[in-house]
Amino acid sequence: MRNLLVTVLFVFALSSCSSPRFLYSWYDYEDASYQYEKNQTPKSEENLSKSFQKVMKKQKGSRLVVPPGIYAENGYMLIKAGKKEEGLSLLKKEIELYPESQVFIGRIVKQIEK
Amino acid sequence: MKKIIFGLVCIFVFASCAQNITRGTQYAKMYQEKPTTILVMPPINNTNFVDAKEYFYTSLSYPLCEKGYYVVSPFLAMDVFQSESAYDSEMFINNSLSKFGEVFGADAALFTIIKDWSKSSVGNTITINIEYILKSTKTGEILFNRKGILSVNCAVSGGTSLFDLAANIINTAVTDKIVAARRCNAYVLYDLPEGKYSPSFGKDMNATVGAMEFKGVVSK
Repeated sequence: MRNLLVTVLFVFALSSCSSPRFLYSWYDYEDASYQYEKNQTPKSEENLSKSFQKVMKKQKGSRLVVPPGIYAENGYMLIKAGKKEEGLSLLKKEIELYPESQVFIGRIVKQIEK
Repeated sequence: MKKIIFGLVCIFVFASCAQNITRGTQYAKMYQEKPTTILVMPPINNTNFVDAKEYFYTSLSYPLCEKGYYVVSPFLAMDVFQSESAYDSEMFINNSLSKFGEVFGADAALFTIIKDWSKSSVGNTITINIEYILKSTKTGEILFNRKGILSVNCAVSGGTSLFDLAANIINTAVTDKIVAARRCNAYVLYDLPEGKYSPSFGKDMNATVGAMEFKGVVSK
């Protein structure tokens, strides 16, 4: 009986750590984007940009892909800063990864490419 | 030993009978429509606390993404809202939302109505009275709706609980107020059926849910 209980506990312990709890890794994106939204300064922009880099570089969530909106936001920010080509390629990456974004992001791409 | 096991089994059986409202019954329309893309509408703020709108607007995307939805970037959407003078969601909540489907590709729009925001200095608690309404842009139906009062105790740090979506993000440079808004989102949206990108998509109909009208207390 005791053996059975130990086995059950063991299985529970294993199953609880078998998969990551979250779909994506966000690092400090939430804070950085909030600070940027609140106060658009060169400093908050730099922090947000660093945060984008982290999120795009390494994903440890269960999906192992960049979360919705990150490529699009980073791309949009780059375009606003005059880096058109770099920004456009990120907007296109968003559409590639999330085809449902085609309607909205696709329109932005068209406007910029005009 | 046998008695203990029997006792445990009894407790489990009773516990499972006590709460029988499920996501599948409470939010059946979510399973019919299966929205994949959500547009976060600028919150409707009926309080005197002006910043509350910003706190909620910027913190809703993350929990929805973690639920498995594609969320239209609030940053990019805001530029459109502002250029179209569509910053006041009051104008849209009772009207057709098909335009938002056309412009943003959104299947559903999430409205939040902040009814009260108060902070008590005793015990450092923020109490929020709020309603969340997810409406289909296609049929205009309400797909998900919860409202109520949540008190966030900012003096105590919460451990990791089931509601603890916020544990995945780092709270360093933000105030208790933004943490309270995030806690509130995590608490309320916990009951939202999982979206397309979640491994539990379409398989969570039997998950039990809390009441649509809630009253709760959580720690920061």
